[in-house]
Amino acid sequence: MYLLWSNFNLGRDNKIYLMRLEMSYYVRGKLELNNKPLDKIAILEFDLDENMSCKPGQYIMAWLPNYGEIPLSPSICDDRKLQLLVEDVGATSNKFVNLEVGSYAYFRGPFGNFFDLSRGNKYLLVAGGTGAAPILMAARNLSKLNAEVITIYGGKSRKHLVFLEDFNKYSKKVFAYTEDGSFGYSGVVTKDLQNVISSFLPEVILTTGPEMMMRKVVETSVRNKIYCEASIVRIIKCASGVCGSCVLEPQGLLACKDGPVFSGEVLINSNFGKTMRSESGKEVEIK
Amino acid sequence: MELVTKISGITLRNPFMNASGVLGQTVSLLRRLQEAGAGAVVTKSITYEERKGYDNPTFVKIKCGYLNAMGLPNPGFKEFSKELSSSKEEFKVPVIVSIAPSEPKQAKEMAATFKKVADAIEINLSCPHAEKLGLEVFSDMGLTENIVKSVKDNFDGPVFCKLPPYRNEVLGLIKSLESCDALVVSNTIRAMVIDVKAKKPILGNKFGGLSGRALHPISLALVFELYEKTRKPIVGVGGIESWEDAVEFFLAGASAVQIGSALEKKGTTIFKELIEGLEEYLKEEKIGLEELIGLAHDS
Repeated sequence: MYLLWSNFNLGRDNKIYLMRLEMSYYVRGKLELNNKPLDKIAILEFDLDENMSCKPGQYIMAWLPNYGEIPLSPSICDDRKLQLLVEDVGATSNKFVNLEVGSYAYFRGPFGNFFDLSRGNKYLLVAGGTGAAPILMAARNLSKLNAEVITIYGGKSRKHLVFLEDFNKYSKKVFAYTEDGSFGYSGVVTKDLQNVISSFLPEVILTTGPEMMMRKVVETSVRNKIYCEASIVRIIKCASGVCGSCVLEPQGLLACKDGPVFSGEVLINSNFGKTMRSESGKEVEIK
Repeated sequence: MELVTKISGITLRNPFMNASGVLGQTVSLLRRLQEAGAGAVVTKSITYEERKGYDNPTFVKIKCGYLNAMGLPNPGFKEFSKELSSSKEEFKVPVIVSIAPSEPKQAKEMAATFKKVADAIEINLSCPHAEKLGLEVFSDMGLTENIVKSVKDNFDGPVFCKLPPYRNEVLGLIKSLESCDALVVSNTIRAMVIDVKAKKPILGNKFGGLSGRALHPISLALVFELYEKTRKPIVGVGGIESWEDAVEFFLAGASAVQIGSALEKKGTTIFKELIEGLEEYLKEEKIGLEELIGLAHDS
């Protein structure tokens, strides 16, 4: 491939297209907007130098030179616009959350698989906290496909429901939950899940959020014999299915490459919601 | 055709195993490699203490291969041996435990601990990007000699040494490896990649190791030369993506080979592809694997 394009004058755009196929190619993005509804949470909007396109559930690797690189599932990744919901959980995400408008960051990808949006016409989306980004992208794409979408969306408080207006736009109905009772129903997203399932009778359930919440959604879906997919969070290092830090056990599946989206049947038979590997590869409990 | 091969007393159902650092971090991953057809499985390099590894980016694809600077992340030898011993009976193929000790005392303790669970030990003397480990150990002849001896004295099975791809260094220090049973040739080449827009090295550790296509002819030349100079059994490793790449290593003198980067490109199905390709080749050429080994040399 390299010999091919380097021996011919293909023009800049074609050359970049081929480079992106055969190597890790970073696209530079300039931060246009940093909306911080809370101290530790930011919605970042980047204007990219070149187009990038990501399906709902897929992730990109977001790099800040001298700080680090983290995996993020975008809420918008289309053409030259990239929207990321970032929570400050470590050194690199802290830097992202506090990034000043006009600063640059670098992105490669997309990586991994994505939610199956062609499995039916009735989708129940269950989103918790900062995990909501890929579910929002799914909601937007489903509404373009004229699917019937019901969303259950929860967070600690009203301020944590950063995508509430967007979900309202793309869903037939949104059930909002806050843990402190400041908005919508009081409690966690899984509180009335069985009732919603029983009345809406969805064909597919998609979920992202804290792992214990997702485990509950998966268990409920499997119990109701409804096809379910969850996008899981693991420590992603190589993003290429090589290093093994993101392993799902006992199957030995890799969240970075075989996932991050897995079906309920796979997850229910795994250590999902129980244990995961730390940065050193040590088995640690999920709380 | 029969694909069974032997290295320093251990028998492999076929000559293909994973390279250390690639899918060897947990028992679940080693088991997946076994199920995919690997002839032996090799663990991630285990150090004395727990290591978190380097900050991301740790792995990037470049035009001629891959660069990585994982930084030897591992839970430490005590934790890892616990995990391995609880599942040892699940392995029908030899388990080769890779260790990266920084001094003989550590080597002794680690070898003794892995005695019950490892069929062979591979000493990492060649990681190009870890302080006081791997390549930094190898550059000290006396230290290498003592580490190899410590492992040998405290472990019953064969001891392999994984070498760097640098010819002059390897030939200059080869005497320090006298007590090891087999050579694994070779590890990655110290390398760097810079992003032109960020204007910075991409890897978190700045320097990393180059693997993949570019490494293949370099490792191959070293295998060829070491086969004549040492007569120790050799495990070839470097950029093997197809059965032809592997056959080149056998002809140069390797008794078995390891697959690393190609697992990124082709996934674990590569083992099936290599086995079928080699079987077909041996049948067509009417030759056994054993006869093939070292055949490229003038008798």
